[in-house]
Amino acid sequence: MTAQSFSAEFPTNVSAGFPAVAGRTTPIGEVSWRSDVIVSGRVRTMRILPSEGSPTLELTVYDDTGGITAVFTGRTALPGVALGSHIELMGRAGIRRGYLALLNPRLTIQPSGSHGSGHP
Amino acid sequence: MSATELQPDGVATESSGEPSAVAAGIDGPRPLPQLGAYAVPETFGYRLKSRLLGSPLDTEALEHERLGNPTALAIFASDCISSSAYASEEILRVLVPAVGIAAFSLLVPITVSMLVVLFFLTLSYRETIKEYPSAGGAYIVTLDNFGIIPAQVAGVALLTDYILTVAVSTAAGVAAIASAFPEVGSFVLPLSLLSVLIIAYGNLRGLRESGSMFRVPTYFFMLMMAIMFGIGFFRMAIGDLPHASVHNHALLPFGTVGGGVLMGASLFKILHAFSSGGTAVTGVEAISNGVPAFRKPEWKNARKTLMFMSLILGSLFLGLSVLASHMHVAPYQSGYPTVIAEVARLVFGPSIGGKIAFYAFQAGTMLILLMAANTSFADFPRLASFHAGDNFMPRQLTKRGHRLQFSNGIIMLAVAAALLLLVTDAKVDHLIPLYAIGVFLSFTLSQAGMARHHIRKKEPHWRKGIFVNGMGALLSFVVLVVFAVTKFTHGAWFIILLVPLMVMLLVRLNRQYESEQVELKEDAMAAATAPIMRRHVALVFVNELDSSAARAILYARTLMPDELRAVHIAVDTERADQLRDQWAGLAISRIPLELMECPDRRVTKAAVDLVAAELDGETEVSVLLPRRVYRRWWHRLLHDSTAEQIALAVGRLPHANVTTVPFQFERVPTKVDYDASSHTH
Repeated sequence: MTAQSFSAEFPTNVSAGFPAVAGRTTPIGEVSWRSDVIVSGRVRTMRILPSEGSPTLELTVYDDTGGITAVFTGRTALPGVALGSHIELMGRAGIRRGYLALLNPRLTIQPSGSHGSGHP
Repeated sequence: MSATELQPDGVATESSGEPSAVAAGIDGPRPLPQLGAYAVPETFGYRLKSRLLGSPLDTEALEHERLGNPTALAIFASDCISSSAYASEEILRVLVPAVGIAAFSLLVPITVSMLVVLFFLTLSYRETIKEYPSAGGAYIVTLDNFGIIPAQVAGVALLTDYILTVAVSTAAGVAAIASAFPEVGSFVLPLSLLSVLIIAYGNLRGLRESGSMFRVPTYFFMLMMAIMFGIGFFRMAIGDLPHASVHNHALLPFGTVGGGVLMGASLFKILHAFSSGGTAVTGVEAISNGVPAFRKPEWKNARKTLMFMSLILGSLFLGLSVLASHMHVAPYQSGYPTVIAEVARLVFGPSIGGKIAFYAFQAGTMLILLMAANTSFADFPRLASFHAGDNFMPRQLTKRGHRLQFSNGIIMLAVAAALLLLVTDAKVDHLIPLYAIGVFLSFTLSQAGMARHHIRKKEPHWRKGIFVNGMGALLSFVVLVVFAVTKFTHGAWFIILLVPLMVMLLVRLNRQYESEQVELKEDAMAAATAPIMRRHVALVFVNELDSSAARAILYARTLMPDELRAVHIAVDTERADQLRDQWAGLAISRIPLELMECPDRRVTKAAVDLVAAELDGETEVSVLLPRRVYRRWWHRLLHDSTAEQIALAVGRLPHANVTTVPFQFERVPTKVDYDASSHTH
């Protein structure tokens, strides 16, 4: 796979590795709170929260089963990630605005067309 | 904002009353619901469109299909090759009434001289393909070498010709049917219009698998021509070919043969005939417009295909002219049977096999002509989108539609071609004088542009390039002048007037777009950081005290304006009094109600006056208009559109902001419903 990994570029609070979920992708609809997961899907929205000290970038990623927010602190853009990109995220499911979210997950960009469209 | 904090460990998020409590139930937070999960009903128009055109396509589906040379030849050559179906006839149409039977002797020399032009144009376009392998053709070449205004001239010239290609090709295609079945003759116009409609529809739907679809008609036509030539020239060699009857009152009246080299024809007539034959070379530019569609190395493949195309066109055109002149096939007054059909009929003979071959031949002619019209439906919208992208045509032309086609361009072309067919009664010989001028104008500009390119760049072999493109430009220019002069009174004047007028229009349009952009971009940063207005007044327009008005007032309260008022424009004073009484008896009476008289019943004027009174340079006014949302399109017809008119009028005032507050007659499920339902199981 020609995917690039940006995992080294930002710190993650779940850097200890995921022996339990290694290589297994969870459908987003089945992600349970506080579990370590790998999800993959299509970036459908981006939200930039500008701030003097630490900007935040929020992506929502959807697969056929649901969506999850990915929060990247300290950045306003992720190189190689655009609306419609297929990405894989690895992290621990937390909460943001009442819905499931991943904080600073490990990010892998997947070649386009490798997965489902993420459309319902 | 406390609810937005991210708590991977899930501690201390569940303070009740926070929005997070909505989705985070006993099992913790849930995934986001799918976008588009709330079933907002689609409009009637959209449902109709989806039914007609199929489901919408994603932008990602916009794939770049690469064509093998045989397929590319079939796609790009249909326009070019199909013109052989009427070029010989158009030469005869000019000559026969002038010099009678001598026309048949002059036909072949005139054809050959046109082939000389074709030869040089082909060489010229070989250069263009190599130097400008991107899409865009004449427009881009002229833009790059002469600037933006000449590019508009080249573009407009090509656009008008694409419209004519559609009109001429469909008319000629239907004439091919009429040649086989004369009963169809009286329906040529409606059938032509129907063909345009069908082709436009097909293009709006998107002809994805066009490759194989194009191959069949193009190669079938070539095959039928080859068979016809094989039989024709064999019979000619053994002296077996019949002569057409020249004593038929349906034929064009014959002129008298004179003496001299030109056999009585004036030089003017010869040039006129030559220019009518010039329609044959239209479409030569098609390949240079679509080089990126070829397989790698694109320019080499495109060049090879161009040579083949010119060779095929040349032999078809020459072969037909030779056969027509040998058998003395004269054109009919009514336009059908066509010369090409008569040639085929005589060559194939009256036997059963001959009849079948003749019908197959006519089918092939018709198909390739309709394919040629279809080619324009690919080229015109793309070229128009280039113009629009450079701000010289309406922006709407750059937008890809439902099925990823430039829908607006397709519709524009279809309408223009249909109008042209209506005006000319779908008669090919009425259309021909308009045709090909545009193409030769764009040939001239793009070849001169190429010559200039060689002078500027001085790449290897640039001297040869200057010669080839210079010859191309010169020849195209000469042909252009001959066209303009000899066909001026027959209709060419229309194009000669139209092109400059259109260019002027486009330049005017461009100035408009540019000035808009200057105004929008200037001081944008300053405007973004300007201090906000001191005061905010919200005015809720109330017609009567109903649910829609109540909803609008509720919404207005969430805006937390400095001042909130309900206003009623009293067209009917009795109703105003009634409203006042109702208001006084209500809990929401804490919000003031303002009644404004409107003796002339001009509600929009009164609304503007009312809002304008609030504007003092320190106030933003929000105008809230309760608006009913109807479930069916015809429900809307039952009510007037006063709210829309008020919105338009008030929106012209500075710092007056109009918001419509919708009131749905049947509620649409919302996100809260999703969350509620996902909690139940």
